[in-house]
Amino acid sequence: MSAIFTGCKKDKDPEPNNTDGLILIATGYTDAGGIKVNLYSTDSLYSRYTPFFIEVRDSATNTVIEDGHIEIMPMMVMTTMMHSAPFENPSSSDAVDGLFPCAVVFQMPGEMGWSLMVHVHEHVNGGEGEVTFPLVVKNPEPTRTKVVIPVNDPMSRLIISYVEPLDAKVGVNDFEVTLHSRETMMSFPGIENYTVEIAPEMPSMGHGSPNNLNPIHVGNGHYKGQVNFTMTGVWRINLNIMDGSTVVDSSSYFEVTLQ
Amino acid sequence: MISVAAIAQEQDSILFFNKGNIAETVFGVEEILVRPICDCVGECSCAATAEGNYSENRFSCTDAILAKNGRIELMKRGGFAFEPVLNGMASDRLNLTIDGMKIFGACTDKMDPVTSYVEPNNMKSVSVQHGSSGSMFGSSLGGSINMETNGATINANKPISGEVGVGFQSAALGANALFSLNYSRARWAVRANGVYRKFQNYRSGGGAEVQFTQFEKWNGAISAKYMPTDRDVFRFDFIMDEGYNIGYAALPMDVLFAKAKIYGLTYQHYPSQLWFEKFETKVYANTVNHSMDDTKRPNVVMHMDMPGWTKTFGGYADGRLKFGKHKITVRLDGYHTNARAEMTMYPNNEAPMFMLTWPDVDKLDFGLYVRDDIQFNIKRSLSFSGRLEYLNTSVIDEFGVQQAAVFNQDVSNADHRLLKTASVSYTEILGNGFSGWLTAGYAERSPSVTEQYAFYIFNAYDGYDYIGYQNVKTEKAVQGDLGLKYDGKRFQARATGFYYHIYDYILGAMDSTLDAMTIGARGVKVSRNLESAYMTGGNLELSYSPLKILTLSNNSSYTYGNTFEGDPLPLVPPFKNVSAIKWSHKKGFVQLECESAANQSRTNPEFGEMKTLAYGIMNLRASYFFNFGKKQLTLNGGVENLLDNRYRTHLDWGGIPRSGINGYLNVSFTF
Repeated sequence: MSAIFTGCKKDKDPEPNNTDGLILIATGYTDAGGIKVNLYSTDSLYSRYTPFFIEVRDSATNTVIEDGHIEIMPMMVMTTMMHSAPFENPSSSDAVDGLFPCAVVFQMPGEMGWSLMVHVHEHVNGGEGEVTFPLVVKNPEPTRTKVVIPVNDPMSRLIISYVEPLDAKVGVNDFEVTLHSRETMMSFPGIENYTVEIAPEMPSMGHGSPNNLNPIHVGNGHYKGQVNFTMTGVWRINLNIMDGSTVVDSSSYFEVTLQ
Repeated sequence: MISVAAIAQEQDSILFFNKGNIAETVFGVEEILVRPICDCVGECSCAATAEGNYSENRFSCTDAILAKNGRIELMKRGGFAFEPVLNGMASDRLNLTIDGMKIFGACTDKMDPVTSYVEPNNMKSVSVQHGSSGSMFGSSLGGSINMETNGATINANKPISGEVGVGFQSAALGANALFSLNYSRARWAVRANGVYRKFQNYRSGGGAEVQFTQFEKWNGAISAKYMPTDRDVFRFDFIMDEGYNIGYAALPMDVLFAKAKIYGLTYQHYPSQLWFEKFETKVYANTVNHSMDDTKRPNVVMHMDMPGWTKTFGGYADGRLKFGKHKITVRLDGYHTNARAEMTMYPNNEAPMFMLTWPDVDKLDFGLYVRDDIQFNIKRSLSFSGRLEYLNTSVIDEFGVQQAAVFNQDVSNADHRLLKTASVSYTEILGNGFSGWLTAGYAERSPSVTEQYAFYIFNAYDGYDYIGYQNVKTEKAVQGDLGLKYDGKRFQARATGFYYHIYDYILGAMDSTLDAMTIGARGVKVSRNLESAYMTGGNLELSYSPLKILTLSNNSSYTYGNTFEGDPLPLVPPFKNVSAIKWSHKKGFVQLECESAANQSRTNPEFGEMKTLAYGIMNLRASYFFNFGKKQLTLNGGVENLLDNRYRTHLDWGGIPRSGINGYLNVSFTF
């Protein structure tokens, strides 16, 4: 009896609850291969480091496919030009809890123009195809991505994006930023060999906080450290980015408000 | 009288008003049992020679009464609520109790010493015990100050008694009003009393107004006493104290309000067995609610709120036993207290900045105190006392734990301490009016909430933000105290001396790697232990009555303190002298006083301490009584700082001068 009941329930509710807390950004079918792609993120889209979670399903059976090779490509099309953005493909062909995590750094907002192409080669039925989702990317308050002209290389661009803390608290917080360089309009590799120094400050008071840990590179242009906040209110995390002993950028900061 | 004198004389007592002495009633029972005349310990005496002399005290604030003790100085930050300093040590190193009840100020800036929550017209006596000998009331280095309240008086012969009075003073255009009323039946009594004070800014010597020294407060108390039998006394006390708009000229903020509620329930039993003198137990609770205010200050860069709270409950039980030459006192006590203080700053158009300056700290404390007074013979006595105290301190707000992590401190686990105190005292009546005593002791004290957990508490004296350190070591002291007394027919003298060698002396040390938080602060100091420090000093009290109506008196005191590196300890009072000449009459008295202090040039530079000039002031006081049967009208008045000198004492913060010439007049009617 109970076996029938469970079986019944399984059929009725095949959805895994791994998308709890995520927002469905878009749904679409690939041009070939019979694949349904659901695009999730943690929030609506803003011009910042944005984690995506891609769910791949068999379009006929609606079964979740957990093994596949997935590549993404963000694109911004403007009237006179187009460019991509820094992004991170899923690191493995195995899904994590049924989802393929990946990320894009939207370096600018756009109500129109942004899209994300998702190319899927699923390994269960062997289907392959791609789908492109138009995206609305809003401007976050405060700014979470900076595109700066490096002091040492004015022709290039450095893209600095704030990853965490998202829910900053008084005390010790993990701090993470990403650094990408614009090699071409289509290529934004992560920078792996810079030195990042942080100096938190309360602009209205003029003081900082002690015992912060400067972020160090942990892979794919991600730099992780520790930032300390001694009280609630508006903080500014000042950055000093160096390539060896050469200053790349010393004027950027991210603002954090602790409620 | 001899036995009173022989009890450990390192205890002082300031008796200033002894109406409503519970012992008067108990004494009736005790006549058979031959109990001591009163509950007073040490040198206090229950024989009120001229009660009127104490009338002026009831208009004074509690701190002013404490200052009459030669070894107590006051640390002043505004016009009200001065912090007592005993033997050169301030409130962190003292026990301040009301009827043995632990109560803790709720202000991170020490604006509200416990003495500000009880009023003289509700006090019977203040007992002052130095160093380790005060461990009955808790572990401390400097000693214990216990303020004993009046309580209701059971006196069926006088069902209704009381007092009403008003007083005015000129320097701050201050007004005081007070009343007390005692209603007694054969087996029970109730007493109510109240005080209201309102003072403007006072004028310093030369006439300049000292901004932010105003205050307003009221205090009310109700006490009830019930004696179901001649050997049992139940007593309930409730004190409520509220202060408003209290200026603190030496600090960047004032006080919006300071409120305390104090509850105590006491049971005393006087057994019929000769060996068991007294059993007493008490439960108590109190709350203090304090809020600072900067809205009246000019040029405030950013408005901030700084509220603070303490909640305390506790109890004790003690017994006094007598076996032959031994009088043994055993007390078991415990309390739980919580301290929390917040700071919220409001920048323009931005999110408020909030932090916990005291991160919701719970203290749970249990103590065992034992004393054995051995009266070898009529002349010699020895007293041993010891205390063992267990203290568990924990931060209960996760926010506070997170905050401390910023300083690489893990305060998520409780801090346990075992505090040990021992004292031995020998007293001998040497003959020819001389007596002397010698005390040696060892004491430990736990760090204060501020010393362990302060989070950017600004100290306006040295201009540093203070950060606590949970693992700061327990402060310890080896202490010696001695005294010699001469009691002649016309001449009395008393000389005392003390020496404290303090190990792991807790003091903020500058940490140049840390940024100050407070705008304009000079830096950050973190609690650290100095290897050692010492404090020594003494006082000499002389009194000579060439005629029955004329008394000349002279009190001198001196304290000297150094760190182990030879730097002066901060805020050590210089040599001070008070001389007085008093002409007494059965209808009143006139007294001329001269108070003077030497300059203090031994300052601690790291503490940003200012040198202080010598000063001298003169005061004239007089009192006159009118008797109407058993009722009495008392007038007392005088002029303080007659020559209108501009001066300050070394412990006064911020270079703020004290009051200039001040005339006062108090009228009270007792019935």
